[in-house]
Amino acid sequence: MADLRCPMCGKSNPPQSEVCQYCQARLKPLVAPPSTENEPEPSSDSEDLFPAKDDALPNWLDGLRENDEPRTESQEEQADEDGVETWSSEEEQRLSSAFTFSSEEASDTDEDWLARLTGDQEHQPEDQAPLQDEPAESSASAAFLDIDEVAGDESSSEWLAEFQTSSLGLEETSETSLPSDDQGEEVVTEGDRPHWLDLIRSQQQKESELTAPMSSQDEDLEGNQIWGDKPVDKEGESDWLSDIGMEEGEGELTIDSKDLPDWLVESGAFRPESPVESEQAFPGWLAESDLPEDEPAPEAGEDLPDWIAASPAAGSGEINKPRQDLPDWLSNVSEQEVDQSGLPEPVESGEGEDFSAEEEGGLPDWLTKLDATAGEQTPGRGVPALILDEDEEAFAAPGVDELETQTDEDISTVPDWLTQVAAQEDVVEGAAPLDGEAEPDLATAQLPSWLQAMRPVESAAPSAPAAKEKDKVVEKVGPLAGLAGVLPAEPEFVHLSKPKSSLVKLQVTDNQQTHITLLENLLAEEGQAKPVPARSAITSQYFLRLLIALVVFISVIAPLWLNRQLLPLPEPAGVSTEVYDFSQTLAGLPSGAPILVAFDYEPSFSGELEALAAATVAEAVGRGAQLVMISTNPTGPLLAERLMTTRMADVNPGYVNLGYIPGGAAGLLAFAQTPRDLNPFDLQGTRVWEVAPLASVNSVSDFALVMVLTENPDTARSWIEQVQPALGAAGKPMLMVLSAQAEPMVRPYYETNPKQVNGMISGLAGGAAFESISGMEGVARLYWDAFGTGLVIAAALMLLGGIASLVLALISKPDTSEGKGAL
Amino acid sequence: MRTPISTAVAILVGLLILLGYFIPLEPLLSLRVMLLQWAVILAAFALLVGVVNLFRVHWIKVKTGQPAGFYSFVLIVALGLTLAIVGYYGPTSAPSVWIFSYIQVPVESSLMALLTIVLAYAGVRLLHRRLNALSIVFLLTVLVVLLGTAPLLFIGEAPVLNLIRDLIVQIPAVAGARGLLLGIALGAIATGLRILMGADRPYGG
Amino acid sequence: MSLADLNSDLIGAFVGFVLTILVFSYILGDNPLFRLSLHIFIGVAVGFSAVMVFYNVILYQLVVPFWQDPLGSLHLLVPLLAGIWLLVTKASPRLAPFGSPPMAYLVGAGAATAIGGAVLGTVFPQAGASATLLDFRSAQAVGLDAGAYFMRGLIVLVGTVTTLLYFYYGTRARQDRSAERSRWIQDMGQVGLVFIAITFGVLFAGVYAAALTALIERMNFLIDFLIPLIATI
Repeated sequence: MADLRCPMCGKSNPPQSEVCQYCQARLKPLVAPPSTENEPEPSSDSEDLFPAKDDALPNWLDGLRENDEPRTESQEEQADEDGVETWSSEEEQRLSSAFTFSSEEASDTDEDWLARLTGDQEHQPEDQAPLQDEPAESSASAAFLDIDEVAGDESSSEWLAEFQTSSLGLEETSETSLPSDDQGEEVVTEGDRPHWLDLIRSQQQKESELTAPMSSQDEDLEGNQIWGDKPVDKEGESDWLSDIGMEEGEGELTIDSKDLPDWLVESGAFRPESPVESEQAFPGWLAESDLPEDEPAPEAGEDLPDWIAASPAAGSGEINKPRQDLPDWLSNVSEQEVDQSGLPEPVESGEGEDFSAEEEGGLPDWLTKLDATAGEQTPGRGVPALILDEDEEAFAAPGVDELETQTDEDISTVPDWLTQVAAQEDVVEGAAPLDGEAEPDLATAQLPSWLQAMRPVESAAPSAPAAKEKDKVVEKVGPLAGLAGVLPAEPEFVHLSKPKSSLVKLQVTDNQQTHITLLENLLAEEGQAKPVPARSAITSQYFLRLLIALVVFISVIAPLWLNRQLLPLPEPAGVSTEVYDFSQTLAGLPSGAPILVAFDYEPSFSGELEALAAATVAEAVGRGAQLVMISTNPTGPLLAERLMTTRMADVNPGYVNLGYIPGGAAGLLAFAQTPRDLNPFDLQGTRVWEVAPLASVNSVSDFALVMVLTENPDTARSWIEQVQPALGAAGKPMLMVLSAQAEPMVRPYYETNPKQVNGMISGLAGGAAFESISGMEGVARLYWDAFGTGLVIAAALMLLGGIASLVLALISKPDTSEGKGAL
Repeated sequence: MRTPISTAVAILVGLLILLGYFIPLEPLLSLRVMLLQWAVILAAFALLVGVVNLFRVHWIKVKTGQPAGFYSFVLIVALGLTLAIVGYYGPTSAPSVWIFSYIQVPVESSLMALLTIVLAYAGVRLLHRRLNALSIVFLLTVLVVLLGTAPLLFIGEAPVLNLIRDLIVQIPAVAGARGLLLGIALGAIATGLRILMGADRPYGG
Repeated sequence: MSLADLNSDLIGAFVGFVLTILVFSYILGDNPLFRLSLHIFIGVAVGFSAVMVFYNVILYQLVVPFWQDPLGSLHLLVPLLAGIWLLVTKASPRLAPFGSPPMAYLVGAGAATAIGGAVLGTVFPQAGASATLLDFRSAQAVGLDAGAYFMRGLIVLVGTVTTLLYFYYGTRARQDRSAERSRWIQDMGQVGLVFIAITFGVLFAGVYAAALTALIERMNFLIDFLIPLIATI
């Protein structure tokens, strides 16, 4: 059982397979042809060219199929169903490959079948002489029209070559010049089928063993050559159309002239030297043409299609000999010139060819360029299969100049047979025939099943019938302008339009709607300013605060007013160690030694720290120390001045006020390393570093000690971190005079080993202790009674308040479910 | 201009100063001193920026006639007079000390004195607001320290109270304070390293 | 003391008395007089700061050195120009973004200073002090017996560690479980919270003591002003 050859890729497949194993194309047609006697049932998936026999086929076309050699059963059945003499399996495959080159770029227009007729170059029999002298790559082969046997002059063969190369807007090239009028000859065949077609059939049988696998080149119109390289393996082997395009005297076909149509003979492409088998595989398109079997060949100029009548060649009377069994277009082609230079060159798709631009239903270019190519026989040029329009300049292969001269006028009308074929397709697909474009002369015929099977099966076969011709959008741009039903040149998204707005109603339940309403109300309330309820100026807490203030004021004013000094100062023996160390450090100052005193406290704490500063500074002055004042606070120098001018006015010690160091810790670090550069002058503008006591001071470690007065724990920490390392390295002490609030955070520095803070006094209690140790009476003594009284009163108030809160909490706890702060 | 340059400046300056802590090379120390001096000068200009900004804010309030415009006018007048007098006579002159002693110190000291009433009121209401173990511990500590700081009226020194106060201040308070100091130092190290690595850019870069 | 000095002191005292009363009026509630005194104080304080900066830095660290030794003070051009740049850009909201480099300089210098000081001035010494808390050899230096010193050191050590653990929030990633601290860290943190509460109590007492001292000073001032006045009247 012979293998099935895929019409798409040309590869062999098992005979029982429905789909090609390589390219997944249907091997058997899907559409069943109309049932006729002895007609093989068509395979619905097959893309066979001859799926079924159509009653509309003329007998001569049908007969072509009957002379086929034994083929596969499926093919046999198809052939029987078609009632047409089908080609051999190889021929059919070749033909099908020609027709199924691609389903992407070309729609199933009327020109599809024309393009498929040409088939694949590679399917040409190797022994076929090329129609042109050029290598295979430049020539297109007629896959099925092996008309080597068909006699005819070169001009006659050109039109057939053009059949091959015409791919309905494909990359056909070149010299699709039609046979010249002088060369066109018609072959007269007996009966209904032209004999020349029988000759073709016989030739195809010879090539049945030599058919090369179908290449996919024919199918891919966008990226590959349509025709591919002409498989000219042997000398003299060429397509029959190659022979047609040959120059005179070269590769002449030995075909009996009796069997050839007149127009073919007259074209000179065929030499009636060898008989041509009467039974030739005939293309289905010819078999299914709507031409009546006995349709006489039209007289020249009589009922000519417009596209032929418009041809200047038509008026030459070249094709005048009537043929009863020829379709009109065939009978009128004799006056057309055929480029005998050979088959048209394959067109590189890389040149920007758009084969979908072929006008639908329009005259094939090869037919319309009859006069353009009249008499032109460029050596080495293939038979032009497609006469390109001016707009289709990009499609032209190199060297196909004559095709570019085609004007729009030559392809202004659609041949009848093309429109009728399209109508048949519509009928088969469920679409309405081309009513508007159908010619009155030809009746609309249904697409035969085998032709239907030839249509490329799309992966997603549309279930719905195609739109009617009248409903299709008429292309307005590009080479296919004027055609309907073509793929748009411009994507749809180019035509911007406002999309249809569709209202999507969200399904909301009642519960959700309730929540939505609630949320909306909440959000609306947020934007509205709620009226603040008027607050009473006098509340219980107000009276409590007044009471507390009164009590505290009395506790402070009374001792001050009375000035009884009832409370004793701390005993010197009972003072804390840090106060003792502070006192001892001060006592160890050498006389006249410069000491650095940092006034880094705020004016708000001047009441507490001035009392301490007065005592400590006085003690230091009493030890003969030279005071050098500095501050990292802008008000520090002023505090130092205030202290020295008020509290120390009686002593009137000499001092140097270096002023202010900005920058915080960075300034302290800079001062610790180079105090001369940082503060070269004092606040009066005097160069103090040149005179005593600063003449011998180059760094902070040169001071006898550093005493920092601050209420801020962070300031104290900065001094300890930035300055104390230098002091500690030099063995110089650092003393702290702190506010009571800073003492807890500075004490850890005092309790290190070695001590970072050598001594400190904190708060009025520390000042009092220091005064007690020093034996002086200072501000601390003055404030001591009020201070003690105030502390006790405050403690008592807090204790009473705490007790009251506890009692209230205990009383209210059994009454309320929520306690005010659980223990 | 901003982000890469600012970040590079911060990182470069920071690294040079930080290296001086650990690498006692003379050129590095000299460079470090110069950089620190420049930082001191820039910090002074930063303080002036604050002064200018304060003046601009209150000037706008006066100019636009806002409800607190009168107070802003008073502030601007006080600022101007202080700048004029202290700037003319000098920061350590008698007029400067007079203004400082009889205007700034009284106001600030009075504000600090008001804190006594506020703190006493807060102490009285402490347990009423939040009654829990920690609040009680806190209040007891306050009471012990307050009562142990000075001699009691009509009682005098209370040795037990003083001892307890000393123990609290010298042991648990030191422990807590040391933990806080270590935490603050570690946080400062982490923050500083983030700045020197460019992870944090508080300077607007 | 001359009559002028007495008069100035008297006037100053009167001004101080008035301002003190105005501030104490806040006990009765917020009022315009209190706000007036407050704004006067702010103006004066800012003025003092500006003048001090001008004198101490701009005049004595930039102008005078340039005047006396221009060549030797060329290195001061950099901070001068940068400072002017900072002043101009930060004074205007529109130009504020362009003042980032000088601010970055300050931030970088401050960060490095903070790191060095924290490491060398706090972490190392405090950690060393915590490590030697249980050193019996230091007991004599402190004047305590070994047992008392040991207990004291132990409490301080436990308090220090638990206080640090209270602020520790590091957790280990666990699958299907929320990020939580381990149980023992939470328990130790609660112990540290007690030490923190004690420390804050001491701080509160210290603040009150400082405020009380300020009140005493103000009261004393008022008394010293009023008594002679009353006596005069």
